[in-house]
Amino acid sequence: MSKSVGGRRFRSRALVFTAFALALGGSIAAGEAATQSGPQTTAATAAEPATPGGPLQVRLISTSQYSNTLAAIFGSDVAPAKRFAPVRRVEGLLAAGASSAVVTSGALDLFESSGREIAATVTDQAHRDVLVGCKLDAGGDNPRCARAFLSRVGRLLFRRPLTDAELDKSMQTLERGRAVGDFYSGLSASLTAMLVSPDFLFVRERSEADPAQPAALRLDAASRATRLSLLLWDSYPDDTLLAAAEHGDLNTSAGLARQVVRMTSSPRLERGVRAFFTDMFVLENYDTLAKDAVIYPAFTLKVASEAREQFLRTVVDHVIDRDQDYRDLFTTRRTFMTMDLGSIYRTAVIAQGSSDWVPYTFPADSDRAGILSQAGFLAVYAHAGRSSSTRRGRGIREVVLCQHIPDPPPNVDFSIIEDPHAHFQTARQRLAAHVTDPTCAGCHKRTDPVGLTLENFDGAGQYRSAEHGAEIDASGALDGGQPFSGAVGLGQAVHDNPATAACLVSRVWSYAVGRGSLPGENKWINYLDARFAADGYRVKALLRDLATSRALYAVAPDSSVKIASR
Amino acid sequence: MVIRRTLWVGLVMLAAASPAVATVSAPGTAPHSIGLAITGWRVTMASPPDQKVECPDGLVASNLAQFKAQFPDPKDREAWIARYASPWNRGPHGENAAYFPETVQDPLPYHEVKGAAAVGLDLDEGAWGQGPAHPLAHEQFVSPTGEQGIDNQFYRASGCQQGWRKGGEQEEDNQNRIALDPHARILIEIDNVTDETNDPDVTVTIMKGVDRLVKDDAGNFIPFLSQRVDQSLPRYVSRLHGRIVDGVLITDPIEAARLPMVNGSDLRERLMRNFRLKLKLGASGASGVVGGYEDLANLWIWITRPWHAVFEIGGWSAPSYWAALQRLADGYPDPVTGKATAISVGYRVDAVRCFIVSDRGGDFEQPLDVARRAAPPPKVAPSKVATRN
Repeated sequence: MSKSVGGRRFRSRALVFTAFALALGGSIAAGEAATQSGPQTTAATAAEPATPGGPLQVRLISTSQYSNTLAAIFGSDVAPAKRFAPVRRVEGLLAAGASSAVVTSGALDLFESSGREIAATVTDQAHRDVLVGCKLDAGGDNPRCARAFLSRVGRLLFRRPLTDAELDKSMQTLERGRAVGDFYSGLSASLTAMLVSPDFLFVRERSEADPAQPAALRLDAASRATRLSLLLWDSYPDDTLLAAAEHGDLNTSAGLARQVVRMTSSPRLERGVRAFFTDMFVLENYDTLAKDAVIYPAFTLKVASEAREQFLRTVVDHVIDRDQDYRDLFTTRRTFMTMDLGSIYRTAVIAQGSSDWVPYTFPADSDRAGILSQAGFLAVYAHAGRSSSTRRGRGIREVVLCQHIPDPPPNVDFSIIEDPHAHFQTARQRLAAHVTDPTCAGCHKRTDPVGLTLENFDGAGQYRSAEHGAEIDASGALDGGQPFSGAVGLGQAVHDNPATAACLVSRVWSYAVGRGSLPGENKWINYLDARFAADGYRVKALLRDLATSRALYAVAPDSSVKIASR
Repeated sequence: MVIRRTLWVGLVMLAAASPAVATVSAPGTAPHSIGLAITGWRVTMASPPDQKVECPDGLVASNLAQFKAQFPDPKDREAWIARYASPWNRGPHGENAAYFPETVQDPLPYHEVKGAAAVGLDLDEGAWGQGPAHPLAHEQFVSPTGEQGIDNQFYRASGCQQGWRKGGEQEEDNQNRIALDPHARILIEIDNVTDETNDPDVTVTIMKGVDRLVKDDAGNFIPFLSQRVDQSLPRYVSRLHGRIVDGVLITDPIEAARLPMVNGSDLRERLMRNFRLKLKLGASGASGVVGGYEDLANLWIWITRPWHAVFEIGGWSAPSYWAALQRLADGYPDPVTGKATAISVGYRVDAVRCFIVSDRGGDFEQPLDVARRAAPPPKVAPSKVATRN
C-alpha cells in the first residue's frame, strides 16, 4: 500500500467537532478514561489493532438520510423530494462535513416546511387510516392511540424511546392543535414538532461506561445502532435494529454480527452504497452540471441526470449485485444505458421507452472501459464548452486516489494559451505551452499526464479521434507506472495502483465515523487495507469487516461534544 | 445484447448485427447501416417565390367566402345555418362539403399555382402513358436547384391555399405532428453501406417507429437517439433498392409505400405509389425529397377527415379543392374511366440520424408478406368514395 495515499490520512489534526443549531443548546460530555471498547472479542476481531477511539460526533442529517428514514417509517410516497442546504466537504466527504455543519435560519425553514408537509400528509385522509390507525370516539378524540402513535414514531425518529416528559409535551402540543382544529390537525402539529426537533435533525452520539473495561467508554447502544444504520443503509435504524440495541445485542459480537448480516443482506444496502459513492465521487457536481448547448446540444439536463444514475447503477451492479473487485470498476465494460445516453455514446439502446434503463456492455474493442470513461465523469471534470485534462487529472488524483492537488494561484497567467495567434490545435499542445510557467508546472505535471489520456472524449464525454483537425495523442502515465494510452489504459493503471484500494478504505472509514482519520489509527487502517485485499477487494466484505469491528464504536477517553447556538 | 437488427421485408425476418457506426464513413469501410428518422415533411419550398409569382390570381377562396358567394343574401345564410348548423354543410340537403364535395359547385374560381418552381422529382421522365403509373399529360416544374421535369401536381393544386403556403397553419401543424408525435415516426434504414459518398448498391427499409425525438436548446433535433420499430404494424414496412451518388441517396421506385402520418389526433396513413427517395446524407442527418403518386381517395380522407375547421384554418373550400385535385391528378388512370386515381407529389423532408432498434427480437406480429397481401392499394376510384347522388 502506498503511504503517499495516506499523506492526508496520517496527518495529525486537532479536530474540534462543533455543530451549531438554532434552538439547540447544551452539551454532552463523555467520561474521562478508556482507550478501546466494543463488542466482546471474537477470533475475527482479536487481531484487530487497538485504536485510540474518536470523539463523539454530532452530525446533521443529510437530505438522503432524511428521505430514506421517513420513507422507511411512512412509505416512499410520504417522503418529500426536498434538497436541504449543502454542508461543507471535509476530508473529501460531505459525511465528515456534516459533523461541523452550520444550520442557518434559512436552512431551518426548509426543515420546518418539509416537516409540516410530511406531517400533513401522514395525517391526511388518504394516509391516516394506515399510518396512524386511530379510531376516534364520539368526541373526535383518541388520546391513548395518539400517545401510542407518537411513542412509536418518536422512537424511530429520535432513535431511542421517548421519555414520559417528552410524550407529555407532545400530547400537549396535540391538544393545542386540536383546540383550533381537530384530532388530526393536533397530531400533525405534534409530528411536525418532532420532525424539526434537534433530536431528529442531529445525530448526537453518546457514550457509556464499558462494563468489560471499567475505566473505558463505549458508544451507547442507540449511537451504535445509528452509526451502523447510517453506514449500511444511509438511514436511521429500523425497529429491529433499535430493539437489538435496546436488548444489548449490539454489545456482543454475535448480536452485532447478526444485525450486520441482516443489514448487508437487505435491499436497503443499495441505498447505503449509493450514498457512500455519491459522497466519495462528489456526485453532487452532476446536479448542477450544464454544458454549452451550442457546442454540446445532445448533453441535455436529462442526460446529465442520467449520467449520474448511470454511474450509480454501474457501482451498485458491480459492488453489490455481483460483489466484484472494487478495482474492476475502473476496467469494467458493463454499465447501463438509456436512449438519451445512447446519443452521447453513439450507440443503439434497446429500451422500452425514453426513461427505461437497460444493461449495456461496451464492445471489447471500445475505447471505453470503467467509470472514468463514462460520460458523467468526463463531463463533470471539464469546462462547459471543452474538455479539461487538468480537471480530469485532478479529479482522478483527488477523488479516486485521495491525493491532494492545490488550487491554482489567483494570478495564474493564461495569456500563452489564450493567444489567438498561437494556433494550438490540441489540449496537449496548449498545456505544453502553459507549463512553461514554473509556478504552474508543479501541479500540471501531476494532473496532465493523467488527464490527457482522456482527451479522446470531449467536454460532454463524446468520443473524438481528433481536435481541430489534429489527431489526439492520448498517451500518458500514472505515478511512475508503465506508459499507457487512452481511457482503457488509464482504467487499468488506476486498477493496478495500490492507492486506489487504499483510498476507498480511507474514505469508507471517514464516512463511517464522520471525520478524518486520527493519529494512532494508522495500524487500524492498514489492517483494514489488508482485510480488504484478503477479501478480494469486495466492498460488501469491507463494510461487514468495518461494521463488526471494535474500532467503529471506539470512543476517545477525553471525548466531548459541544453544541452551540447563536 | 443485440444492439440493432436490420429488418427485412419477407416471410422471415433476418437479423444482421452490424457495427453501430453512424457517422459519415471513409470509403471502403465495412458494410454498415445508416438510421434516419424523419423530422420534417413540407409541401413548400424552403425559399418559395413571391406569392404574386406563384399565385398571380390570388389565393383560393375559403369555405366561408364560397358560402357567402353561394348565399349572397345574409338572411339566406342565417336560415341555412339555422337549418344545417354550419357553413361547412353546404350540400343541397346540408351535406358536409368535405365528405360529399361533389354535391356542391363552388361559385368562386379556384386558383392553381402558376409559378414554375416546386419541390419534387421527375417521376415520369416525360414518358406519359407509359410505365407503371401511366401518367397523364401535365405541366412540369423546375426544382429550386434547377432540375427539370419535376412532377408535383399536388403542389399545383394546393400551393395557392393559405394553409399550405410557407408558415401556413396546415403546413406548420403537419410539420409539428411529424416532428413531435411518435405515432407519426417514419424511420429509414439504409443497409449495406460501404461508402457513404458513393455506393452503387444499398438497401433502404422504411418503417414506423414509436419513440420521441428530442430537440436541443436551439431547436435542432439531437442525433443518434435510438428509435424502436413499431413491430405491431408491419404494413408500414417498405423496402427499396438504391445507390449513393456523391453523398446523395437515390432509390428506385417501388410499387407502393404506406406511411404513418397523423392528422388531427389519429394515425392516418398515406398511400404513395411509385414511391421513391432522394436524400442528401449528412453527418448527423439528411435532407431531400420523397415523391411518388399519392392515392387521391386516401389523400382526400387524410386532408379532410380529422377536423372540419381545417376548411377555415387552411383557407380553402372542399368542393373546388376536390375538383382541382381530380382535374390535375396525373397518375394511375382508372382503366374504365380513364380518370387519374393518384396525383404526383413531392415533399421536402428532413431527417436526423438515429439508431433503429428492435425490442422484440426482430419479429413482427405477422409476416410482412401476409400483411402486404392483406392490404393492397385500393382499387376504388376516389369519385366513388366521395360522391352522393
